[in-house]
Amino acid sequence: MSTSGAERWATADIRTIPVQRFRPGQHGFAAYGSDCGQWDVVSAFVRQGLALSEKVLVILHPSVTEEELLDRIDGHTPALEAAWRRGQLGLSSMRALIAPHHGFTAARQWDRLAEESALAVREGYTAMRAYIDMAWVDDLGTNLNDVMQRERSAQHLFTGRTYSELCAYDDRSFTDEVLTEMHRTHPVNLLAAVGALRAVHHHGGNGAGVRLTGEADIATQDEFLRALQTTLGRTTPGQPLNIDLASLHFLGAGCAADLLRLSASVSSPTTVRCTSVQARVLHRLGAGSVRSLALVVEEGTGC
Amino acid sequence: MLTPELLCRLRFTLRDLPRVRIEVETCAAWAGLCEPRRGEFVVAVDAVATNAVEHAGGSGQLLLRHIGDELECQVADEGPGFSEDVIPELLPGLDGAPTGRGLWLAKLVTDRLSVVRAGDNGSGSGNGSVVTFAVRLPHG
Repeated sequence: MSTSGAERWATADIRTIPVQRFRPGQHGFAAYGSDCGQWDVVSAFVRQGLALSEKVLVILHPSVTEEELLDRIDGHTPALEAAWRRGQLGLSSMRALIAPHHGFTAARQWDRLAEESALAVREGYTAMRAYIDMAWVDDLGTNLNDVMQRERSAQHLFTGRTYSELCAYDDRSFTDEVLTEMHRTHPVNLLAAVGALRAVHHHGGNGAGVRLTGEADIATQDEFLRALQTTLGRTTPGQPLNIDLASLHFLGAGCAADLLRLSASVSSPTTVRCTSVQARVLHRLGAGSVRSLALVVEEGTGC
Repeated sequence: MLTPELLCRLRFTLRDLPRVRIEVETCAAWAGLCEPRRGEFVVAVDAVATNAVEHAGGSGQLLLRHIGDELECQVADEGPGFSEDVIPELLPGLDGAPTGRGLWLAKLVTDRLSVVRAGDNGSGSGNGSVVTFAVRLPHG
């Protein structure tokens, strides 16, 4: 994974989520700096959509064939092959989407996407999600300003939560100015890499805290522990310590134990905001024996 | 005799673990395993695969199958081999060594878990162990 590319746009503000947390009604920005990094995200995007019973539309660089898509995302599993056969997963192009028209207009594209998502719901899917590689802009010879205006004013597509869209920008093909503007414009930004972990610290009148996004496993365990220790270091003894795991898609056993161990070692009351699955894991590993620890389960954050 | 349905077969090292979790989550959803058990099953798979990466040769092979009313996962490694004895009977204390906590959790959240050391199952000599664990799927 290139750090010179997508990492630049992977700031962990409140809008940053891992691809596995992409949900109906979201309009997301992703940047990639290598083909390898893009395929990991496409693979996760597709699989998560299928797990949520959504219809999944993939629009990639026009040169990508169906065979290449399935090869690159390890699509020859029973679940993916069945989804492909019944039309739950499909590869298309912007050219095909707006046909028989040849030129892009925002209204034309919006109408077609709205039609497709309505069809997906009629077919019994919970929603439709689209991964759109912005290589189509060059392919159709579209004015970039028109595309950027479309991205800024597409809110109405997402209000019914029957459609979500991830716009993927190859940072070798777009200028920094365009990428910065698109990163700012989209309501949701994706972490640069599957498996990554990001920590955002905050400190206010209500004590110190950290918001963790991504995945906490053996590969990110040192980062996870460092983030907790940094937060602890910023906490005045006795002041509350707030740990927000609600945007953490995965909490492994090792990191969960680290969190409990650290909570047990401090006098500060510690509040952990988490998903129902994380709460079950923490309870099973002994959260109940850590007196200063309170778990607050965020409804609707289960996966 | 129930015919197993192969859901996925993956070779993995440390860098593949996120991909393993995504694949297992997708297959588990497809097989009908609902939350929160699906999330806990993914945690169990990660714990067993992590054990292979950390202590059993750095890599492994995962096999996920739908057998009858169960979702079964096998993780084979090529490490020195270990037996079920390494899994503590009780939850290891937070102040103790972390050894075995992941496997202990995997055993707790699944409906069955067993460990067979290669060579102990009549298949001849060889390195490594196979951890097999399963959860029951909801009816219907």
